[in-house]
Amino acid sequence: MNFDLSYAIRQFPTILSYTGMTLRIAIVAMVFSVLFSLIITIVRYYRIPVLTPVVNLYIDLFRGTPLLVQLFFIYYGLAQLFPIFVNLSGYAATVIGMTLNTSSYMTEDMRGALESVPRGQVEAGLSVGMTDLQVMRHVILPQAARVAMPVMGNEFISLVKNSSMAFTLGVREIMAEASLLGTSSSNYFECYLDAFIVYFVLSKIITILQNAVERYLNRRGGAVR
Amino acid sequence: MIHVQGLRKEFGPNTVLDGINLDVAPGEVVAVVGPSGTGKSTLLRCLNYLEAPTAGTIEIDGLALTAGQETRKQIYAMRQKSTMIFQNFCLFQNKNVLENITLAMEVVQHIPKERAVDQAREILRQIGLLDKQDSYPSTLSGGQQQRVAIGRAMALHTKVMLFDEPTSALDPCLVGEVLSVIQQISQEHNTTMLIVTHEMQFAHDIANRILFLEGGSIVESGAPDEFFYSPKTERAKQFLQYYSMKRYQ
Ligand SMILES: Nc1ncnc2c1ncn2[C@@H]1O[C@H](COP(=O)(O)OP(=O)(O)OP(=O)(O)O)[C@@H](O)[C@H]1O
Ligand SMILES: [Mg+2]
Repeated sequence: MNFDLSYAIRQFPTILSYTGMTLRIAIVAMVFSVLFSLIITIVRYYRIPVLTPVVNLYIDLFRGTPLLVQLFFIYYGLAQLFPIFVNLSGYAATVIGMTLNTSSYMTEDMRGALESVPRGQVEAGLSVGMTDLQVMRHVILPQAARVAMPVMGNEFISLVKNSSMAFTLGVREIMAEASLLGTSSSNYFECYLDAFIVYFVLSKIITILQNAVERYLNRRGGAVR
Repeated sequence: MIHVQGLRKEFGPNTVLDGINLDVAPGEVVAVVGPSGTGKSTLLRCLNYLEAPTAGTIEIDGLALTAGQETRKQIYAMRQKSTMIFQNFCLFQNKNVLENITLAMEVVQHIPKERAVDQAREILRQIGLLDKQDSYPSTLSGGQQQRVAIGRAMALHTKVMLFDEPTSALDPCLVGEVLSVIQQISQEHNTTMLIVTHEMQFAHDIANRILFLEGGSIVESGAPDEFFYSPKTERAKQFLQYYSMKRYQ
């Protein structure tokens, strides 16, 4: 056994410094995922013709295949067929792939949250003369968002962890840096241990923030009955 | 104010409203009574277009819609002609009391926020809930919630208010406060009201007319004293006996 603790400690700040890139991928993918999921969830909620089957097919495809395959498919596969994708950066491909992957699950969370809002809330809104869209915006979505909150936190943690796959597309984030340092020094254990710790602490911090937000919303006399 | 002709509503093979004809004068208060499952709620929901009728014509305050020919725009317009008070209140859970009242004023009627708030607070004062303006619905009693729901409807100044068993989800001791608010509105404003209720005493006291519904049809319609003291139809007699309204017979 040769474990070089001082090497692990020395490299920790370097690996830690790539947290920015990891978070950037996760946050951007999260924002796009929420927006995209919202759109496809509304398509499914109102059963909009033509779009609904298309959306369902997409969900099926992206749930039925591994994220890594999806990322390779978008980054390497599409570039071969369509010239416009040649200029797609590894970072952009990662964000697109992770958005499509996450959304295929997130839409189900959102649908559950929407359906958890009692029918009476919709009817009360319609009864006072609001349009379907106004009811959705002022009554249903805020209540559904409150219900979906905890799940969204978990989705974000998944994004942070899954962003480690970006290194396979040449994006330099925590995992990429750990791999590079590990390969060049042959101190794999030390480097991956550092990555291990960074990811773990990140997840913990997000969970703590998530709980704080929950408590704040509950104090505000939130919507959950 | 309300003119209904040949109103039919079917749910699949079930005919729930079987050709309703009904005229309600401006300011008239009509109590709708009848056994469970006879289409009382469905009638109100059709008037508010929460259910689309299968056939017939509904006219409220000059706007007439014929089943099957309504446009989305007309339906929205029709919903603005009346407001519904639900059995289980249905306050917006994500809004506090004040916002529950101002939301539709701002979003539907485009009343500027400040004016909406002023008017809402005036209404809260009338229904005795000004001190609750910042509370969320889940923290209120049933009676308080229903009064807010009535306030939400009052704020829109629609000429027609539809009440679907406004007190039947309430503890008996909270029924009075809600009924007196309804009574107050009918006296102070000239609101046309359709009230589905199982509170016979209340129906007798507040209504100008009682509508007795059974099996999706209007079986009897008459002045309260007439209906309760000397019902004409056998069905109505049985129904009143069931409610043991002996003192009215
Ligand atoms: N959305 C619906 N789909 C199918 N059937 C329905 C629907 N709404 C109501 N019904 C049926 O229509 C009939 C009349 O219902 P409605 O709620 O109008 O009765 P009601 O007179 O209000 O009864 P209650 O006094 O119990 O409230 C019932 O048999 C009910 O099962
Ligand atoms: Mg009913």
